[in-house]
Amino acid sequence: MSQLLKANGLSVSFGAAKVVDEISFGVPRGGTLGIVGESGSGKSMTSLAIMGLLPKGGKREGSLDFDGTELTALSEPQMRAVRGDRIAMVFQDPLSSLNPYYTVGTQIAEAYRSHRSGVSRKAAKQAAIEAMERVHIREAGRRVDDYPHQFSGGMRQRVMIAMALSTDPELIIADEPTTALDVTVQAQILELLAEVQRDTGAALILITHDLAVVSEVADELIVMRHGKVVETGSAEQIFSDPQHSYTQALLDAVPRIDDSIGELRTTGGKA
Amino acid sequence: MSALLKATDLVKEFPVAGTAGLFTPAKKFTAVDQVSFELQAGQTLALVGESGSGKSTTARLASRLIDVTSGTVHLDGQDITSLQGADLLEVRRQVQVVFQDPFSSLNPRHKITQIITAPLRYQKRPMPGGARKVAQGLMERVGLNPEHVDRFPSQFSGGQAQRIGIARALAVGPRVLVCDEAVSALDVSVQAAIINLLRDLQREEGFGCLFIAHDLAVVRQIATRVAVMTAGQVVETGERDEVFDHPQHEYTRKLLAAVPRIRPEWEAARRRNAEKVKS
Repeated sequence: MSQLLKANGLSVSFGAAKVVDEISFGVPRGGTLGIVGESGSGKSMTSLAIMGLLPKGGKREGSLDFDGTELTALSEPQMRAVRGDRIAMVFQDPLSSLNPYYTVGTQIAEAYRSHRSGVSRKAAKQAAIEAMERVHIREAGRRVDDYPHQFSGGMRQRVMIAMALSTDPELIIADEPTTALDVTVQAQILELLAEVQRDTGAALILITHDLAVVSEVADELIVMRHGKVVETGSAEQIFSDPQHSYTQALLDAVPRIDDSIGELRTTGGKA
Repeated sequence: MSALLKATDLVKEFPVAGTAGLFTPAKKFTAVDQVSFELQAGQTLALVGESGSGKSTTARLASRLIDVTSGTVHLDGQDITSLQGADLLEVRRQVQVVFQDPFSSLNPRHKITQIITAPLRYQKRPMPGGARKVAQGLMERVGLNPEHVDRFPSQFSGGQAQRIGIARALAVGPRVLVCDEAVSALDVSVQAAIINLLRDLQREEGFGCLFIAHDLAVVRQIATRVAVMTAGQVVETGERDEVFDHPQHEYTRKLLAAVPRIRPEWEAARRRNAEKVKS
């Protein structure tokens, strides 16, 4: 599989603090790269560096080759043409990413029109309805005029995914897309992302702290800690034969739902 | 054996905002609907469910942080449902709560000494050797460096801050510890340490633990018994392994099926590979 995105020696620093330290990875075309790590590992900064959306004072170094285009060499207007169009992003908290004063249809249509010059409002709204149908929001034609607060958490995340999909991106970056969701809703959203990938052939970068989630979704995996990549490989390699002691410790720490620690049963002795 | 904490037919209704008229009462939303459970000393009862299932409200009712609409709560056979004043203070000594977000439940302007000994101060209880010494002793018990007793909450990590919250809850020697999503906001390696800490403390102190969680994998590690809640009602309750391995209610099955799992064949391979390295 050829690589859609290749990061080489990517670093992010704020003054003297290097929060991402010369990391390299590849995202296979149509495949899924999982980036896992605990808080402070630099996984979210990595995604913002790709999007060129680092917070003020953040400095990016190294190379980001996106389908032959060097992203780090693009001007802001050039990057704006890539961002949201060829690379789209889905964040953890859909409520804070949506404007409460506008209907979801208006917001999806706006995202669409900003990348498709000359599209009429009517056509953009139609595109928004179609995008909402693609993410299985029922009665999309009616719900397109609803406001974000009228949607549940899972439905809002569907709206965000619809927005990301409206421009047919080649790469979707999802940063903890299911962390704020209930487990049954999480399963639906993960299924939806997989379906979107099957249908559109888009590649996915899934950023998460949840190893079980990443094991169900990712083809390739990088494990980050303190801004560095400690281990990289196929998901199967890393889950079945982790080489780095940190990866091993991380896997040991994950509570298993199908496996309980026997000693608990005797607590109090009157179970 | 009588239960340490017993809830019978708990109901909590909240008025729905904006539905009250001048002469008409507000519409009622039933957050907790006829919930009953029993918690034994030295055991952990997990209340599990998705957001809005009423699990946190149930915990708050049982710990007398909010008042019931109807139903009763018994602590050690005594009806505590409507106790007030000095009697309620005694309940507060017996029942302590650890919250989800350690930082928002710790006063940022107070030193750790003040925070940990606050329950003792409020209850005007003696502190042998002084507050500092008592705080240091509690810090040691939860695995914190007692030399950090003069620090402020912001100087601690999330896991350490949660240990401070646990130390504060243990200060009065409670018989019931209510943990409301106490490990949900923590990184996985920190979470494992806190789960182990709670388990060790329970073994030493023998308190009963009411453990509120949405993460079923965590519950599997810590619970003795499990009650599954949805839409304000308990739909299934039983011994932990019974509920996880042979779920009876359709909702429990759906919930368990939705939990993401590391592929079993990868897990098996990892165990084999780890064995190989050892030998």
